[in-house]
Amino acid sequence: MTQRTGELFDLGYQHYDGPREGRMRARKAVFFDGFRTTLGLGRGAGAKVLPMLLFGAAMAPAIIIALIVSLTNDLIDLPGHPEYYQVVSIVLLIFTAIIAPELLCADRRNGVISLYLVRPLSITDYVAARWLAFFAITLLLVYSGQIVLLAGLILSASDPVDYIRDNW
Amino acid sequence: MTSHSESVCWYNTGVTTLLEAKSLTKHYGRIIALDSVDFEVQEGITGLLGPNGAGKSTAIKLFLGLLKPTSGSAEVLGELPYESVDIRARLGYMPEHDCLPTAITASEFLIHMVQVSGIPPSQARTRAADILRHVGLEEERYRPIGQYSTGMKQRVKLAQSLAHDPVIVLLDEPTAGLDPSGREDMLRLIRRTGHEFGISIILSSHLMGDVESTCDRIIVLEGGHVTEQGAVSQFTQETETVLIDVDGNREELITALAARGVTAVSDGVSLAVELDSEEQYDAIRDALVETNARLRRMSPRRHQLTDIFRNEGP
Repeated sequence: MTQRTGELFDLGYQHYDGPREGRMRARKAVFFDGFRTTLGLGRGAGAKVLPMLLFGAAMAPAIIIALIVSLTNDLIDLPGHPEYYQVVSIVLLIFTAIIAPELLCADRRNGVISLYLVRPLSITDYVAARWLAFFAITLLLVYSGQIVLLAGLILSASDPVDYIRDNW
Repeated sequence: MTSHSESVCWYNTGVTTLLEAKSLTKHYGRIIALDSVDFEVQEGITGLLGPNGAGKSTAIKLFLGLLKPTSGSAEVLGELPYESVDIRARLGYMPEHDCLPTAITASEFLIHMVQVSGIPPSQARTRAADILRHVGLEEERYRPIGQYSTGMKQRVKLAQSLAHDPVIVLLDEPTAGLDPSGREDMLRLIRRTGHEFGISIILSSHLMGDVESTCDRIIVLEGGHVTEQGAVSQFTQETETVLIDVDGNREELITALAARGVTAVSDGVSLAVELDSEEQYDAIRDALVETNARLRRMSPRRHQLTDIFRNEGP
């Protein structure tokens, strides 16, 4: 039985003669992998819970501020962008404290690091690519909250065009 | 430091030197792991045999550029792996220790690792699927690696070392932790990789059985020195021993064998006969018939490789 299965599926080994992009491809791969790992993409549902929760926590203040502003019709002087930073910085702190070690330590803990280091990639390339992934995600987190808040404030302002002009 | 020799054309010549150790020395503080070792590795399957602590893993790590030699050089395809990042694109490595993530599937992991070896994403997917099929992981490849058995994990480890179609792969104790049938599967896979896929292999092991059944050539390392090297067939041919167990008439059998010019050594249980020609089998048969000794067992024992570690502890 086993022999037959072997015959059915054994198409022979194919050598690879396509492009080899070397070091640059390796750096990109490590960067995108860091990005995906942090956000839990390509992993089970469990891996997505924490990043989603923290993303939610960073977005919530922006949405709440924007909602209150629109409902109260500018009657009270409510927190804007600077205040949002204060509220959300604690979430950012937690987020970075969780993802930064995860990006570098997981590979050492399970030994994958030794597979990276025998590939066309220097240790500096590896750390730089991981750090860039970390930076990109943090940036995304910070700015997406701000953009939601800005959108909310613009839409709830009595004169959106004036609001943009005043607050630019 | 060391001058680069001309890059070897490994793809269009018959026999080439893939790896070369030149007075290769590695010290860890005061401990000498490798002491001015010289050897060459050609195409085919080469076994690196030695007891634990002989310097096998150190030699492999030097060829991969994971370690820098204290003195001497470890050349891969004519280049120094710790200086040339690019040459590493043509090497494969299967470490002895755990080196797999647990949360992602074998398929995801392989696709990623192939890209880190420099292959674009569009091709990486096909390479990963192909190689997982070759190592015998079909449906399982969509399950997280954390759920795999030891045997399956070893296959993933082997797959990641082969997926980018390297010129040579270095396998550090690939059979460690496997049960006998798992070991046999792994060795069969390694033989296929070497002989059918045309990928050269260095296989380190402390088990002579592994090396004997799989490799074309062996290099024996002991205490940081190369003590023996050569073709496996040469090792085993020279020293074939046949063990004979009989019920009674032992002394007569020894005499009868001696009369035919065959020396038998008794260890109290079995008779060991060193053979240097095929005709001696006939002599043994005739001696058995003549003395009417009841034969219980007669089996070959290729013991030269075993004897290499005779002085090691149990």
